[in-house]
Amino acid sequence: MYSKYETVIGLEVHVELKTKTKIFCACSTEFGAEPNTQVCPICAGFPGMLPVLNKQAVDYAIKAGLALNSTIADYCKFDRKNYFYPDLPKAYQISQYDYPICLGGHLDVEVDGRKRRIGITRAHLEEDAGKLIHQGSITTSPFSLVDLNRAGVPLLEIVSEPDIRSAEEARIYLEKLRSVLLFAGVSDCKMQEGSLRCDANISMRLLGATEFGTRVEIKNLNSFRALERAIDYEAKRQVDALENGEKLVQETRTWDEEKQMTKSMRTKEEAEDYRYFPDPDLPPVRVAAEWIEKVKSAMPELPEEANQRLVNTYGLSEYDASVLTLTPEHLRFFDKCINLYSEPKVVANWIMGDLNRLLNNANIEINESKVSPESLTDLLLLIDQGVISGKMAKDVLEEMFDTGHNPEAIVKEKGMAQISDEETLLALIDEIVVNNSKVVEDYKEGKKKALGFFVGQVMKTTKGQANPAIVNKLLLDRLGRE
Amino acid sequence: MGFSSQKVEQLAFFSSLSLTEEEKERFAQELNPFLKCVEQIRQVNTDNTQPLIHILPNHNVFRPDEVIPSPGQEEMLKNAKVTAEGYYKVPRIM
Amino acid sequence: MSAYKLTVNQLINKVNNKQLSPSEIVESILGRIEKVDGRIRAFITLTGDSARNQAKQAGNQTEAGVLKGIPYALKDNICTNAVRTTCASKMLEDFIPNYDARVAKKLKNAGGILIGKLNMDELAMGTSTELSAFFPTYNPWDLTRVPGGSSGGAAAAVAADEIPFALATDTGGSIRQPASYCGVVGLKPTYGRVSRWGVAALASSLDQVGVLAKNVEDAAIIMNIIAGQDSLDSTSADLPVPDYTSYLGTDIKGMKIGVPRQFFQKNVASEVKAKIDQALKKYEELGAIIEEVSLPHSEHALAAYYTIASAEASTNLARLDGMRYGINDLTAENIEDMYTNNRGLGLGPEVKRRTLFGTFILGSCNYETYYLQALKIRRLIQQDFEQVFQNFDLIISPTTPTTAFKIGSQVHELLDLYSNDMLTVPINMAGLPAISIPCGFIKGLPIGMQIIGKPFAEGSIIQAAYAFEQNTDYHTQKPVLGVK
Repeated sequence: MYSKYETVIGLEVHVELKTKTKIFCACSTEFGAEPNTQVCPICAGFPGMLPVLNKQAVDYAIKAGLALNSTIADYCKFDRKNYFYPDLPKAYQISQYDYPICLGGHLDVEVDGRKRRIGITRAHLEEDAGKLIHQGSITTSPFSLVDLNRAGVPLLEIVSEPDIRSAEEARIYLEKLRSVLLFAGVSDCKMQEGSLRCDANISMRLLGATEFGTRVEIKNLNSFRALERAIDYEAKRQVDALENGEKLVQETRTWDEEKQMTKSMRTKEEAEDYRYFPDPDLPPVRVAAEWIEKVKSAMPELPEEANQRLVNTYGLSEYDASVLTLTPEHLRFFDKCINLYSEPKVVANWIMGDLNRLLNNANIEINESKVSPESLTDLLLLIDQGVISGKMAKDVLEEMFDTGHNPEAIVKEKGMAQISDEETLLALIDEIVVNNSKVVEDYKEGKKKALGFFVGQVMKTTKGQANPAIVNKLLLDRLGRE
Repeated sequence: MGFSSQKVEQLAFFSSLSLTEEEKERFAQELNPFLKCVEQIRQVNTDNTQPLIHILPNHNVFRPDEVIPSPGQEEMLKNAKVTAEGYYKVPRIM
Repeated sequence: MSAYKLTVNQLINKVNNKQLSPSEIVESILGRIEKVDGRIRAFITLTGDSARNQAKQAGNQTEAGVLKGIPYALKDNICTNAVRTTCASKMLEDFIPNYDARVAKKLKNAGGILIGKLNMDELAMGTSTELSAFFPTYNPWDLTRVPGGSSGGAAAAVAADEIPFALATDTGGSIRQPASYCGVVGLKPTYGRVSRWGVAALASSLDQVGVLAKNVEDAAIIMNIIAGQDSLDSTSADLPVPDYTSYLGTDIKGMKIGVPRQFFQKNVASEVKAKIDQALKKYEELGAIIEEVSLPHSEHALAAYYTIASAEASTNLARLDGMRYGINDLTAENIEDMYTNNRGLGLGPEVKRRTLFGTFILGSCNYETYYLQALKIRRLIQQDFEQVFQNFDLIISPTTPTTAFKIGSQVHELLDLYSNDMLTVPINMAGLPAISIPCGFIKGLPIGMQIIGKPFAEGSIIQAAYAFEQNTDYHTQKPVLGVK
């Protein structure tokens, strides 16, 4: 059914810039404070209050723009977007309408091994709104409570071209965008705290068509999963409607996480007229070439460069490199490990495999984990020294993750060390061989499976602690003499 | 171009103003001559004239990113007629 | 002489010479207000108790600012910490800011003593102070007439010796027009000269805080205190502030004064023209060179002004929704009703009218036709002035087309009411400084002359105004309250 159509998706991503203070006043932006404690007459829209632009917010916007391959406008200005809503104290949002700070740009993403370039239309600075607390849901709550702590936190709204073609591609674009912004150091990009938020514009069109279909905007996509599910849901809804000959309306819909569906908020006819006009309280911003150069020279390594470094210097695959550069913390962790341990591929596999699984289960970031680059590489050294097996190391890692103890201590405490002493092992092997003469016959007749039986017996007797390499060697030797 | 009471109603909606029927009628009547007076500006030749948004030619007026402690919850809520648990309180939104 | 009759400069001298104590001054002022404000009705709020306390403390201080013990009052759109600031609107009837406007703070820091908050047209929209949501103010020269507006309370209070000086705001003439009607000095500085922080905005690109005073010298003294860049106001100019009192008493020989013919057209009463002509003759006697000049786009200034001012006001006032401050209809069942009821009940008809008009102007389909066009005309107006100022030091015109009109006479004549601003609005459009000083009386009513200067040339304005004042006695004449 989908084959006839293609999904056309554009994303509008809002990221909170990680300034210490709000964009137009000196209130703190720290997350999680008591309600209305980081609010002043300016961000609460009291009479006579005036905005003054936070320079750091502009610096971050320039930095983000450069990281997204945008052109930094030499002139930009601020406009008022007028509408009434209780989370918007002045009844207008200060935003940038026709002269945004960043123009154009793109991000390259890889989907199913195929490289795709997603265009960026623009990115502009604006102020965030406050937060509404409802009893139950917004539709049923008899009243709402308003917390203005977030009102006035600087936002960068990054608008993509309608270049995205699937839910997966949208997720990968958003992941890449997040990674770029994290590397650039301009935002925390924490979706669960709302410092990265996403709206999606979705329309369907027949394959090969050049005109766009009726566009629907979906709001309230608060996780990567919600983004993918909402797009899939919406694409199906639109295709069903088109197939049934229904006419789609241009509208704004919201993603209902509970019911896993999109719901209509307002149609275009009901749409607001925001009455944009230049804010007379804020003089324009001019960004000279020197300013851009200054920001450029302070730009940290970005995911793409890091990616190339991992491939070229350490011989990692593109895929491995892209996973290790999802967040700067991952890369920093990997780089530290490499200083302590010389086999990049082994380190990469442990981070991407077991450690990432533990991190995902616990829903924490790598830098919040109790496993440090030092302890992970210590663990790897224990394997190399034959103290523990690779399989045992997985258990030790879990213990390290839970307790934060170092691997030697765990191995010692749990009596997990490998038995590598040949005399001890030989005694065991002798006993097993003597007691299983029938299997010895099988072995002699060439049944290779018989060797496995003996290894298994040794492991069983030693509770898995026998060094498998040595056991193998000793067994071959011993059975050869039969 | 003129103001009808329907037009006034629409403007009142965007301005969040409740108007009585009588007010709508009256404002429609009052705004018409006003608009007529303002209409004259359309006759002025402004080709090659840039709009003047800011009287002063200054730009790049910035503030350093330094926190100044906020006045506090109580201070910020004390002029509000209704609050709850440190929040401003408003009636149902939808 | 009673303290209340004195000028700021005289009071400063008496305090310094210990001839008067701050308490004596404050008592004299409060006594005067007590005696006459029942008839003038200039004050919305009086802060007598705190003024008395402050005066007592000031009396014990040896070190203090320039204004030690000098009383002042503020138009009620200038926010004052812990003192109710209503903007003469029902909406803000009980609003108590927790901050001082920058200008209020500066006066406080200079040792001045706040006596109270002054009446105005609601949210500074109007030209008569009849549109105050509370009560009208009466012109001290004729209690049946308006004091002008929107800063009518400020002009009337100064004229009636209720206060030595006051600060007010001027968006299209709100300081100069009432100054003209009440026979006092009203100075509107260059846009950006004085901080707007803490002053409830009407039209952000036009508003400017200025002074109403008994004479030019006092205006210069106050300008020294309030002028200057403010890190909290992005539109305040980062330029050095001269000592404005240094311009007092200098001669004006050779000064070139332009007289724009467009400011003397049919709407301007012939008696008013005659007074200005007389004043210009005086300037000639003093050695100034007078020539006619042209400001061709000023005829469109009023229409463009109302376009811009209404648009800006409609969004500046949108914050008055009753949630964080202001009146709140607690019976509203949903947020939309809360907004529309609060604003419907809290805002007066003129505010609603301009809000509706501004909303219309900014609508996406009208924006280019009206708003952008008005901004272009604004540039043409500014360029007109610029051109004249290439050859002239100052421009002189009447401040108002007539003397004060009767209370109630123009309330329903919308366009007539707005035409009171005709001669003052172009100056705000160009962001220029201008002063209105008394230049005569017509049938017992004062009339003002407007002196307009180059950007940030308040000094030249003060110089010319002072020279005129020194050679005339209009500013020393006082109304006899209660006559007529």
